[in-house]
Amino acid sequence: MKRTSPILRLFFLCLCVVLFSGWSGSWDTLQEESEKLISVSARFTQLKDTRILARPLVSTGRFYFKAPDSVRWEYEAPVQSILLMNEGSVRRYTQGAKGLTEDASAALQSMNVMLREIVLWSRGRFNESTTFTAELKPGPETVILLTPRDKGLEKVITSIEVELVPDKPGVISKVTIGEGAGGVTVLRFSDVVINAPLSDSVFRRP
Amino acid sequence: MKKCTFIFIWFVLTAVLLPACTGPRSIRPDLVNPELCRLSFYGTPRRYIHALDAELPGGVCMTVIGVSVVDPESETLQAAIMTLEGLVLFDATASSSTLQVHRALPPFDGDLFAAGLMRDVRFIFMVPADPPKVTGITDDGASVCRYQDTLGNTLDVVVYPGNGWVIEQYSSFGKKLRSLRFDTLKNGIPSMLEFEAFAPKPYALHMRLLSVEPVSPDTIN
Repeated sequence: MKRTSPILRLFFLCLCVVLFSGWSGSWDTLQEESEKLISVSARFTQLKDTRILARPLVSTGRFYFKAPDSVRWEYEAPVQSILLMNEGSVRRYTQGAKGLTEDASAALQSMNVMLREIVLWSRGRFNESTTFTAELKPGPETVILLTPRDKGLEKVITSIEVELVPDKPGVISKVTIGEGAGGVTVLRFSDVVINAPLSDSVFRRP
Repeated sequence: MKKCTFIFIWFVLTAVLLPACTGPRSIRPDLVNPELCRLSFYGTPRRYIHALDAELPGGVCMTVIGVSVVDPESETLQAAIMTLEGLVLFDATASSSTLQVHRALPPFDGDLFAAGLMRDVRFIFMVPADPPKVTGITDDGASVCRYQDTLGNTLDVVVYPGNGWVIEQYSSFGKKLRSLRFDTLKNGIPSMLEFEAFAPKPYALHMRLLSVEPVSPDTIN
């Protein structure tokens, strides 16, 4: 099980990094705007498509972030699950046959290591990442393309595309994660609220 | 003294090994309609999506999504495991004689993992096409269809009068290899499956059905 950790760690890294960043279309303003980000809450719809599915598998949930390093990534359907990152610890709770239970896998324990990098990125320091290269795609929409630096990671995730809401710095509308061989995960965000007060209890054990 | 030692070792070995090799349940031979053991969910090519609560060796628990596409007639199946976040950890296709792994990430990338997983998926979603070798009734009134494969493994499909099903596989030495339990059917399909593998490494799956749909056999690739 210990071998799970790098993969899941990097995958969560991919998911979180694009949500933590306040990006307004210019590298120069990235860090400045990220520093202004105190909290984020949003609904998300996740569509997973891969060769074994006839149509995308739809999951829905809520996302919360509070600076400097608290995250709640909550799936409401089809499987209820809550991933909490708070005060340096990472825990996951999943609704299963035995009720809402804590996932005790080594993968989640090791996610503590990941936090340091997430915090770095939440400060808008994409260029300092040793995991992905970031590129601003030309066009009318603000789209950022993240590409793994490591060939090993490229076998897991080929690319991440982040689409921002026009004229709303820091608000993400869509994230597309490519896995190669036709596998793709699309996250669409709605009801995004920036810098509203968020209670600490949101990031505590349910 | 030597005799005492031998008896002691024999006693210990017997005590340790007997529970693991108790063999299939005893049945009183009787006529059982084989169709009773062939639930409708075994007959049609389908795509199943389950939430899998896995209890792995070492007490590790994790929840993932399992997708299984099964064609009982051609005995081909495709299986994928993905995280709740959608990351595909494993994807493979198997027929009765071939296995093709399309993707396998740690911890599902072990040499024997793919073959073992597909064997388990086959056990869960397919029963032998041949008629049972023996049928009978257990002491508690359950109907049993007993199948045997070419390796000498025994497969019991046990149907309880109150609509409970137990499927068990034993090695030729009587060691229990796998079991599957379910008790309620929705439109002929179990909404919850309890799977357990006992060897080589024990693990358990609680499988909650999220969706099921018929598929064309040629979609499995």
